[in-house]
Amino acid sequence: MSGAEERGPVLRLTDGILFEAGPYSWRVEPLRIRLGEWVAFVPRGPDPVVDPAGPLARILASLMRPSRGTVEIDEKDVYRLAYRDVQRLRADLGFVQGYGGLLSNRTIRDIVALPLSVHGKLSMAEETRRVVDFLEVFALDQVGDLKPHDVDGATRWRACLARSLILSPRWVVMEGIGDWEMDRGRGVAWGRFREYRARKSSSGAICLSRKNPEFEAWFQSEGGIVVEYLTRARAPEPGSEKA
Amino acid sequence: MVSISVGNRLRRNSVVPRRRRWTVLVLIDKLGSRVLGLFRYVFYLIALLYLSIKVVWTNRDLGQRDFLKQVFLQIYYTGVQAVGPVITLALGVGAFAIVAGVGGIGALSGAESLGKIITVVVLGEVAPLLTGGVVIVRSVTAIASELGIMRVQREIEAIEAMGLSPVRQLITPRIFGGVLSLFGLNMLFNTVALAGGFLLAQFLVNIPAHVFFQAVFSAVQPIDILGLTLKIGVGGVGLFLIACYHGMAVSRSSTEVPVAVSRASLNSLVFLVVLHGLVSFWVLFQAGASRLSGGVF
Repeated sequence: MSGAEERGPVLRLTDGILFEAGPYSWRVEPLRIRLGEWVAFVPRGPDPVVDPAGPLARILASLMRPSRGTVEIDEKDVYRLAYRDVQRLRADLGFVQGYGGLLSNRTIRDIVALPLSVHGKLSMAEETRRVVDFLEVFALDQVGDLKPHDVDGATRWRACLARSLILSPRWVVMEGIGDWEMDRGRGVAWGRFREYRARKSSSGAICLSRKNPEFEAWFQSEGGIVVEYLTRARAPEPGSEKA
Repeated sequence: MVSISVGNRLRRNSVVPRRRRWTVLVLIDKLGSRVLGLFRYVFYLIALLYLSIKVVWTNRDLGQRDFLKQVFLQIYYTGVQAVGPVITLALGVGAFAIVAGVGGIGALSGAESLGKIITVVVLGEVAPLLTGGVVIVRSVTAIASELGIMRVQREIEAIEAMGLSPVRQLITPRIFGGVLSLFGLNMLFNTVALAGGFLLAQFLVNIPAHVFFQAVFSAVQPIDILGLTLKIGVGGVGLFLIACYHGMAVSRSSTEVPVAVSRASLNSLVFLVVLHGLVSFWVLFQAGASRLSGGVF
């Protein structure tokens, strides 16, 4: 057993999680994700009015508290940690936002370099070399000096993926599947994603807003696990006007 | 039931007409809500200031290079880019002060009076107020809208997801850089206003340079410098805090951004004027009876 495996599961939902928003709610059953395992969360139930993948991804990335349930990352209950400890935890976490969330006042190069310059503790030369390598690997070297609004959506998503993976995080959370529909996993971004996953030094969750049988089949063929989470309309609160 | 019946009896027996009583209650309610809202607003600003200072220490190991880069960028945006407008305003104000001084008290009263006018009016009041105005128009609005748009586009969430503090990444550098820029702009304003005023004075009345500048500097007391420092320091911190607070208060919708910008600019203007009034009064009373009795001139 390697040292990493001795540390236990990367993510554990001991008693599952429940999230309630407006007229809908969803529930993820208790589960644990070990190092090297990648899970796609797919909704089951009626199509919800609110996007379920957004809150689920944020809950798994320690950015949003669930209505009920415990989220443990590396055996730490993330919503009981002090803010400084949460920051440390997030430094080893890659969050790929569905719409990029790229800082609009920085160039693509600076955006990809930011986590490295803050947490990397590298010399300037080493940092620059690593960023240049990463930009090249993600086919961003031609757009490094441009700002997010100057490039198309697929490039923005690639930049977001590059930014999330540059510190080689153990736990990666993806909100949606980005440009998967465009290339069915044959493009640069998903190629890099596959390589990253193949190293077995990380785990991850991909949160989908609706069923996508084609993606699920592809993901399972890549060795990923598909987990369904139940979405449903909430019953009105007893005593409320509608009740 | 008892209380209702007592209340009804009281209402029936009351000499105040029911409608007016209702209006008074609503007014008291609104006034109370406004006062509480003001206290809450001030409390949030102070809390934000505390956090923005605290994170400098607690997150000291997180990317000092990037932090300094952000501070220098803010100095560039607020300070360097505002040099042109500030020089123009300072020349105009310096000239105006001299023309008003010569016209108001006459050239015959000499260089000393003109120097003191410039000291009291320009250095003490107009310079910090006008540079503050320039900063409100240029930077407060820009910061509020930038942070508001960042909130809407979830860029601040991205910063948090990277394990960074948005306060340290976005607010502290803006306050540091902004206050430093405001000090620099005030120095520039004062220098240009004095030099411009002196040059114009040469056309109107023949005053030797050493007499003019001696008059100016002899009119400056330590309490004036303290007052000016308070106006710039506290004013600068307040302006940038208000801008950041309203920018960060935007939640999800882009329609909230213009509201945040207008609130930030209006509140910072009110804050600036009130602060200047308070500090000027304080300086006046600290300076003693000589000024209160008109001893300035």
